Amino acid sequence: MSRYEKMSWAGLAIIFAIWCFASWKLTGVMTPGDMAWLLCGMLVAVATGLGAAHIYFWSKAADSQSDLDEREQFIEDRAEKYSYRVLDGFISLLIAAAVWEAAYGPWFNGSFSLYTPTGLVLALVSVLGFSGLVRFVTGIVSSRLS
Amino acid sequence: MSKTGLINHVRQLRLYPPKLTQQELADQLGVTRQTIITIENGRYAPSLALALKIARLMEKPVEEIFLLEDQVSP
Repeated sequence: MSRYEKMSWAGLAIIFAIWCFASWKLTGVMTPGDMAWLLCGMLVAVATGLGAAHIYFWSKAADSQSDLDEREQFIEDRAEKYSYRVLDGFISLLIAAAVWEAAYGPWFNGSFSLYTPTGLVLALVSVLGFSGLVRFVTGIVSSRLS
Repeated sequence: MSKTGLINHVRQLRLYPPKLTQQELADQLGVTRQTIITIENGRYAPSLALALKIARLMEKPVEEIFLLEDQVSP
C-alpha cells in the first residue's frame, strides 16, 4: 500500500468519524442500539485515523518522504474534481429540498426538517462529509486500479 | 490495446544491462515504484518531463521508448 493510499484511508476514517459523531450528537431519534453502533464505529474510525496520521503525518519519517509524485498528483486532482462535483450536486439538492419543504409544510422531513437547526446542521455536515468520502474513496480506488 | 494509447519499452530497457530494479529506477526519477509499475504496464502515461527523464536515463531518444499504438505494426 503506497503512502498516498494510506493517507487516503486516514482521511476517509477521519471524515467518517466526524460524520458519525455529528449524526450521533445531532439526532435524537436513534435507538440506544443505533447509537452504540455509531459510537463503536466512531471510536474505531478515530483510532484508525489518528493512528495513521501519527505514523504518516507527524512522524520524523514522514518529514523525510517526498511529496506526491506526478501519478499520485493526477489521482489527487481527479479525486478533488469528483469531490467538488458531488458537493455541487448536493448543494443543488439541498436547495431543492428546502424549497420543497417550504412549499409542502414545515415538518415535511420530520425531525430532519431543514428548517430546524438540527436538521440543517446534519444536512450540511452530511453534504460535506459525503463530498470528503467521495474524495478519499476515489483516491483509494484510483490508486488501486491504476 | 493499452489504456493510454501508448506502448513503451521501459521494462525491456530497465532489464537491459546494467539492470535496474523498479525501485532503483523510481528513486533515480524521483517517483514512486507504483508509478514505474503503472508505466511499464501501460496503465499510466507519464508527463513529458518524466518521459524525457526516462529517455535521458536510458540514453535513448524518447520516441524509441514511447510509441503510439498505431505506430506499431500488428
